[in-house]
Amino acid sequence: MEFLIERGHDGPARFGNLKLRSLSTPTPTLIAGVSIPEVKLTYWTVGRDDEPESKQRIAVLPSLGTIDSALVHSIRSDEDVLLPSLPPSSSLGPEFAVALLHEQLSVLNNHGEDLAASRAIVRIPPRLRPEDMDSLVPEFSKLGVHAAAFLIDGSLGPEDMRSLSLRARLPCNWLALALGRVNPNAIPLLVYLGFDIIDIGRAAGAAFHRIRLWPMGSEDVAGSAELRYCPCHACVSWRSMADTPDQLGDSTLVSHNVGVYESLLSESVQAAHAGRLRYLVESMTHSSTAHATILRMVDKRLYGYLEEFTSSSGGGVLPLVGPESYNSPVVRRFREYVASRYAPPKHKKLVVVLPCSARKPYSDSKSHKLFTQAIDSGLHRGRQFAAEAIVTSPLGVVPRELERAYPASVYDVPVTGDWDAEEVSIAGEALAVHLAKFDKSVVVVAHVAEGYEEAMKAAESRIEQSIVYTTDGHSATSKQSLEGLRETLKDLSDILSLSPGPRNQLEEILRATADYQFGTGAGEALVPEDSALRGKPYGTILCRVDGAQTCAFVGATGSLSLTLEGARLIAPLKRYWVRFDGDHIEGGSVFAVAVRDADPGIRPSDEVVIIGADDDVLGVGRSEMSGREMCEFERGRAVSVRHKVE
Amino acid sequence: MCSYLLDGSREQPSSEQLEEQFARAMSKLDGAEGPLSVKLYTSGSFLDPEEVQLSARASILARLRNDQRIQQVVIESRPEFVSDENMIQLRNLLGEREIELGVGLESSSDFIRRICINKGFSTENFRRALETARAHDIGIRAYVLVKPPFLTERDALLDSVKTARDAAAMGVTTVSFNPVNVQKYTLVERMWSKGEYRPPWLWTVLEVLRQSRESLPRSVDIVCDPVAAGKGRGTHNCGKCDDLLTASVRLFSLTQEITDLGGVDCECLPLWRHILEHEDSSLLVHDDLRSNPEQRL
Ligand SMILES: [Zn+2]
Ligand SMILES: [Zn+2]
Repeated sequence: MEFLIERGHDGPARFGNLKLRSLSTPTPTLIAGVSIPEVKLTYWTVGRDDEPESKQRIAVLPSLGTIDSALVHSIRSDEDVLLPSLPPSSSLGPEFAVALLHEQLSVLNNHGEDLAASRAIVRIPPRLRPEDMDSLVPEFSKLGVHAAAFLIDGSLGPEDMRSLSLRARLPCNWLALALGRVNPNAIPLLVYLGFDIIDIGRAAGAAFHRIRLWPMGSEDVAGSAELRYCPCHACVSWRSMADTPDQLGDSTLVSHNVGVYESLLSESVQAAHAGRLRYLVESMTHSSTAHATILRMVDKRLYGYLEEFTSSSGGGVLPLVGPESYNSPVVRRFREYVASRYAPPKHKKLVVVLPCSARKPYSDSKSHKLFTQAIDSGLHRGRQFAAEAIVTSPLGVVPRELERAYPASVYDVPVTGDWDAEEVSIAGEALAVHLAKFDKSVVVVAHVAEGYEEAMKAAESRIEQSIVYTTDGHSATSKQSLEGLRETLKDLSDILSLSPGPRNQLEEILRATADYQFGTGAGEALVPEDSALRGKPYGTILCRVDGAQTCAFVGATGSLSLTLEGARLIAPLKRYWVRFDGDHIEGGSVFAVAVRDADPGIRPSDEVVIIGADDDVLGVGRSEMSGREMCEFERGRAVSVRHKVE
Repeated sequence: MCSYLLDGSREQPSSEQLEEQFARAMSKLDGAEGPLSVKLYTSGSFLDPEEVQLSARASILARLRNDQRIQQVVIESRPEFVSDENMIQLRNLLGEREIELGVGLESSSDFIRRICINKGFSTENFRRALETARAHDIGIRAYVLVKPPFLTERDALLDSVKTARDAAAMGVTTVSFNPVNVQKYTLVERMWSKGEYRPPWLWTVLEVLRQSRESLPRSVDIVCDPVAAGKGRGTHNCGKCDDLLTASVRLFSLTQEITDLGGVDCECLPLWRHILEHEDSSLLVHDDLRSNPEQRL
């Protein structure tokens, strides 16, 4: 089989193209048995099911122990084959799972002449230990296998979680199948987790139980006097003939059920193209508690896998509606980057802690304009000594300099002022970590109320600086509070005897963004003391060193783009590098095949430095995939080049 | 079935206890008219001296010999105890009576017997036992397990039919199908309670009987007396058609007529057909509970 992964990512979800017997099938796609003709891609058990006419098909070798050479020989030489195994059992433990993989290896070794490994799909039992997976998969890779099937039992419980965790360990360029009992509401989740082919045999299984499936649940047709309205073709033609439940035939139910899967798949694919698949997955958590539970487990246990393929930029508004968003990869990554990469300018003597605003970026909002006025008039010409930290859920803390960074500039949350315990704890933790980066002598001015204040109080015991609260029970935007803030800052300005001086806002924004984007130290490397800065805060800012431009800050995306000169300044940090196999880049792209090695820290959409064999900078550009994919893929565009050495 | 499935923790009865038990069973035959067929069902092997001491064996066989009504005796044994010595003893003690040795072949696939049933003999052992018995004009009744664990529904169906054909080709006199039932404190019970095992569908049992009857010579009897049929722990269908189909299985065992099988056209038939297909490709066990969450609620 030929499986190509194409451009674009939304988390681990990917788009691909599967060539089966010279017919192209775009993935992700659905698969079902010969008895469900509505589904184009078909599996059939050799020697047992009728051979399907469709070219888009995968042969199944029946259970281990019934395999003989004649059976294997009977399969067309250009057909892909699911390897034989046994129905898995949790009762027999991990050794049994290992034995099942060894059996599949020996099928490949014993029938190599009739069954090329490149056509084989290995079945991974849910009870396989992760370490056994890691040691056995290379054995299959060596033979040329690059496809694996995982079992989903549909309960979205611990067994399914095992299969999802094992899927996350698959090499990037392998095809991944989800077989078993997949209910419609699990389709977005499985697409999100990078499954390329999803079994919907359940469409028929449910129909024969007289169950009509729906995106968020199901309906027992036999047990209900009044059926739900459905506009699908199958149901419309049933209603036009007769509209009693007992006239709703099995074939109508199968067609309807398949339609529900098809529509959820297309919704998932479209959402993934728009970068909103995670939002769709979060929405589906309301279909069942099991669904909500497994997404939490996925976020907790597979964070590394999700984050690795999650783009570092995004278009449009990012809705973060409920607790299922608190640990979504973009949100958690932002918190972790701010905690580990942001370094406050050393001269700060005050930190003003502010609440977030519904409108983004914050400084465009009414409330933040009021805060800015109060701070400006309170501090006056000592303004440069005040840092601003915006408390928000679920991002934690956003330093003012990073308010345009992704996702701080685009996230959207329901704002009520009431926070739940998890939100308070997340923001409290972020505050404690953030404030610990400032000198102990710095004064924290907490201009916060409600949930924001609770978060501040939660962090209080871990804050070493003195804290002044300025709201006194009123809302942060009330006249009294704003006046309190102004007065407090005025007093502090005297007490701390802040001297007048210029405010280096452009430099602060550039350095903070550089650190956020490329890691600690990047700000100082890229924007040294003697650099010349031009532009507007949060607009476009250009940085020149010795007359040569090094980078530009683009307010619309809140990110830096590098010039070749800037790339040379960043290169010694040994981060975000892609080692090109050659000494000269042709054209506007670097393809994965030409990547010799790459920083595994690279995420899709990152600004990356292309280097040659001797670490010499050859170009800069934007990554189209994660660093690991650049190394593992043999095809596809790895980097879109912006500047290159001619 | 073997200890792997049964966890046979029952205590070994003493020689006296066995004889007593036998006497009690025989007393139930008081007043019955011949010809009679007696089956000695032991948990393992009647011919295993560790299990049934030689003195008990001799005294039980002597009692059978002295009862003129008894025309046929069926004794259970594992293949390794089917020796010339034991066969001579049986022949001597039971005279001209028809003797059948019930041997748990379970499956003619060594792979399935080893992996799914965990029995320690090969099909070759079975064949040799069969030939030894035949030399003494003693027949073999092959017990065939329908749906041991770790098989899909269709694996189970096909394996049972193939086993019956293989057994007939080897020369057995009777094929007795035993659909697996879920017994307490067994591995199968553990799997069943987690939704990882479902006893065979009655449709499967019917299909096994039909296909076997079609392909086996009339001289070989095919019988099936399913335990707990129609119950969750036994072979079952949807609950609506179970009683009629079970009755048809029992009737078939007496008449050997294929036309006596089935006779009901239930709406669970397409579901069973779907499961045959889908279990093979997905390897998902289609248990009753999770397949139908609506009915669970
Ligand atoms: Zn419909
Ligand atoms: Zn039925």
